[in-house]
Amino acid sequence: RSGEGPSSSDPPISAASATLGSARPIEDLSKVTYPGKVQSPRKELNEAAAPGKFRYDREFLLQFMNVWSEKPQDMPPLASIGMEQGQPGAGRASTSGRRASGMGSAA
Amino acid sequence: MASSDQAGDESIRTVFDDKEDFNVKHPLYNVWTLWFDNPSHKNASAAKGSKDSWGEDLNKVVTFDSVEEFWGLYNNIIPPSELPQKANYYLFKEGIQPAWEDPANANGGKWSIQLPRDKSRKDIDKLWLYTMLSAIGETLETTPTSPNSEDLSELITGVIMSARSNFYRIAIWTRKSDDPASVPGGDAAAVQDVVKRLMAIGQKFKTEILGFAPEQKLGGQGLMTDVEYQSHTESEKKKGRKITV
Repeated sequence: RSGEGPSSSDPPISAASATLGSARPIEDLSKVTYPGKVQSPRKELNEAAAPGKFRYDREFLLQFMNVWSEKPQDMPPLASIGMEQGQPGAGRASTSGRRASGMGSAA
Repeated sequence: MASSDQAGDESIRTVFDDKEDFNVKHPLYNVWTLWFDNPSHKNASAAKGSKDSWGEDLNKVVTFDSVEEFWGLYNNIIPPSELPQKANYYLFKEGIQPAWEDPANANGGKWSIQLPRDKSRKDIDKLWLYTMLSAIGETLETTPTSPNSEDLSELITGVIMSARSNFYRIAIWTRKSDDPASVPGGDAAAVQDVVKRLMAIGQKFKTEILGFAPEQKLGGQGLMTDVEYQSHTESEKKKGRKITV
């Protein structure tokens, strides 16, 4: 509608998005090892898991927060769906709050 | 590391190994769709009250089925604390409309809490994120006690975040409720099982997501409510029955 992304020349797909597009869903979580300090999903959540049907704990999921931020290819422009900030400038503090949540308290 | 199965030997690389060159992603148990509406955006001048128009402004943001895609979405949308008043996020399983008219919701109900805007603004983004992570990570749902029961279907259909002028509300919608009529052909034991599973969801919501103590009293202070459950049919009534945890 806005003239953005005409079908003849869709916006170029970033290398990262293309990588995600071609990545296969994990079938067996126990075959995956994670580098460095990255923690595996809690084992007890997936003891009898069917292939590809996994449950993930919050601490595991939060580790992705600052690792993957590629905008989904099929996401509409925010303005086109009325998603806008309510009080400009008033919410900046929440960004740091969002980050902080990545630290994950012991509780 | 050595495997006798040659075919399975291709190295598995996640996004943590190499953002530009990974070959597996983390599938979610369910496929989810994020919806959004902001009724104050378009017809800000139009007087509210027309129930028929509900849903007109409802926008599908994106459908996703992996952990990676969830974060790609999350990192590119506006957190609740920055949303205008009246805006809502709805995260529902694919194929379920975020409305109680949807067959998956019609017989159900919701756990919800209302949090005063001024006091919870700094926490609301985290609480909504935790709610979504529990939903997509499937850690809220407890498995039915009897594996042979007809009741194997999951209870949760979606989660909702509502921003209002004076408060935020987070809700967890369920497919069945404490109303015996919501458990088709259900005998007393089946109904009891549903209620037990509902209560477990409420407790987890209160303690693991919202961070309150199990017995903590929350309501009765201004706009704050307890963590309450109400079936959709009861919420239509003036003084509908509620359960609190």
